[in-house]
Amino acid sequence: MSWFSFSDMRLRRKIMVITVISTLVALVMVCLTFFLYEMMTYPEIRLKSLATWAQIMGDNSTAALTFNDHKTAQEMLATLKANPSILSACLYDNKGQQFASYQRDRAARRRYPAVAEQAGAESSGGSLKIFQDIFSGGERVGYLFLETDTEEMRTRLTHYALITVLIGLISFFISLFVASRLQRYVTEPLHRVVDRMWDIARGEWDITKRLEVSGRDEIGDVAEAFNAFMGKLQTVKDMKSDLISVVSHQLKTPVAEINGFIENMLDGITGEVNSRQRGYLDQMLVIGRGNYKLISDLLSISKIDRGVVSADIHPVSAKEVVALTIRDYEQIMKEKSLILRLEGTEEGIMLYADRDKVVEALRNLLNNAIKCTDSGSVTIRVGSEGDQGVIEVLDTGIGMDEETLGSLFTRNRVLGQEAHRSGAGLGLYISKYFMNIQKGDLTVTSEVGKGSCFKLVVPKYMKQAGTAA
Amino acid sequence: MESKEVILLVEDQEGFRRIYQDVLNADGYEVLTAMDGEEGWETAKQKKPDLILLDLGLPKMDGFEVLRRIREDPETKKIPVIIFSVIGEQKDIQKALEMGANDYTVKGFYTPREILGKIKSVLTQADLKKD
Repeated sequence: MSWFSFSDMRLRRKIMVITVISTLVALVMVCLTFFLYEMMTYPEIRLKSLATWAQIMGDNSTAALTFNDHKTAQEMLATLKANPSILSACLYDNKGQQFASYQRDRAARRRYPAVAEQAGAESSGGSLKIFQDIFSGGERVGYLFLETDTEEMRTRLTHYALITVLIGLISFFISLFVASRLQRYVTEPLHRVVDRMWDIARGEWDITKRLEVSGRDEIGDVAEAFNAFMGKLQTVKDMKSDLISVVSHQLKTPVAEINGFIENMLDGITGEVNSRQRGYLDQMLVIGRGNYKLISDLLSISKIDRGVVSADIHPVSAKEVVALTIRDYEQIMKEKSLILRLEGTEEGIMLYADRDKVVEALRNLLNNAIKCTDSGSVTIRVGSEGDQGVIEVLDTGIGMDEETLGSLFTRNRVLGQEAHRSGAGLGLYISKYFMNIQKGDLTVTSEVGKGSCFKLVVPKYMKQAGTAA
Repeated sequence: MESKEVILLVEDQEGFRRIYQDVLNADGYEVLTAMDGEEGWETAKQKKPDLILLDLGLPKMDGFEVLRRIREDPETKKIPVIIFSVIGEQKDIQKALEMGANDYTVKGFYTPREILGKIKSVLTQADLKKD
């Protein structure tokens, strides 16, 4: 609409603008009230004051009028100098003849009116005039005329305006200062709520998190509503987990059975298998194991979601773990003409770990390594660092850039666009989780075009101590 | 080995029963099978096999109950039991091990041949204890 939009303003600014504007409006209203009051009442006050002067002058001049003493009357009128707002004055005898007169500025030569028919006051042409009868002992002895300017009123109003502007400026700055202080009580709790919401939104799908509700104001309401929303989300997520769990349980038995039959056939239990049949069976087993792995991953995820994953930790040899890992993949590697190198498997390193979970993690790593490598080799290297056993899986494949590495161990990849890439989504998330619950870890280093190195770490089994730390 | 060692396979899935019966037979074991918990317990009590492969999710009487009876009966309590589980039953396995199962294996995660290796090692340990 325009470059200035109130609705786009940050709350901090809005509060300040509102505070300052309302302060100024209140101030202007108060000043306006005084201003109007002054305009309405000041002439009346002036008139009363003028009437008082006229009364005093009249009373003082009765003797001069009675004795026809012009000089004394003149001297008496001259004392009006004490009041600079009186422009002119004139004393008349009872026949209406000028008796004595006074002019503030002689140069101005203001005219004295003829005697008016009756006493009264009038305001005209920026001046205020009054006629007064002078009585002595119940008998009229003369008249008095006084004229005053309205200069004083203009001065007063100018002062008012100046004071208003000054106070306005001062209160503008004070209200700005106060608003900038007070706005924090609104914006800071809001910022906290927003930050926490973003934490949750950017986080690893941990929707058990809740906002702390502080206070019963609108910000507290926001937090409460958000928590209620998270509760709903949790319910939906639980339903999804349950569904995945039920479906996977139903699927895994038939898939495992099919694989078992194939494995038995390949083992020659049902008789001699010729090479073409073996080729078919090998293919079927690759597909069957792929399906089994997918079902296992889904089950693992739903277990992680429900927080029911535990580790069954025993001493296990690194060699056995590696042997169990590679047996599913020797066939595929043969087909892709990849070389599998094993290093350090004969060194007798014992791990203190959950064998099945380490095997599953390693299978994930090997599976990925094979997928990302079209030629060259995959190496599994066993070693140790201090009291930690280390198994590394190195490939000579395409490698990964920084961005891919950053989101590698999250499950967002499965939820996002990359979900369609075959399989590789959930495995690494599950693998890292499996390592973390047995005091281990899974990390990666990679270089685009050169290959990746996944490093799996678990505690070593210490024979002397009996158990690992 | 003078006589064939006898293994009781308690498993309600027909596929798994056939797979393991075949692989054990091929390796020279005599295999008894039971399709549910009750039949498993009856067979164990009557035939006193050298080893029992026990599934946990069974009809009529679940694997835990079968295991409890085997371990409580003086005639069967020495028989080694391997829990024959499917993936995703970690808690159940833990419970079964605490109830006196000797070991466990995961159908599908390991090949029948790998599971055969485990059966052999449990049998060897049981033989050593006997002597």
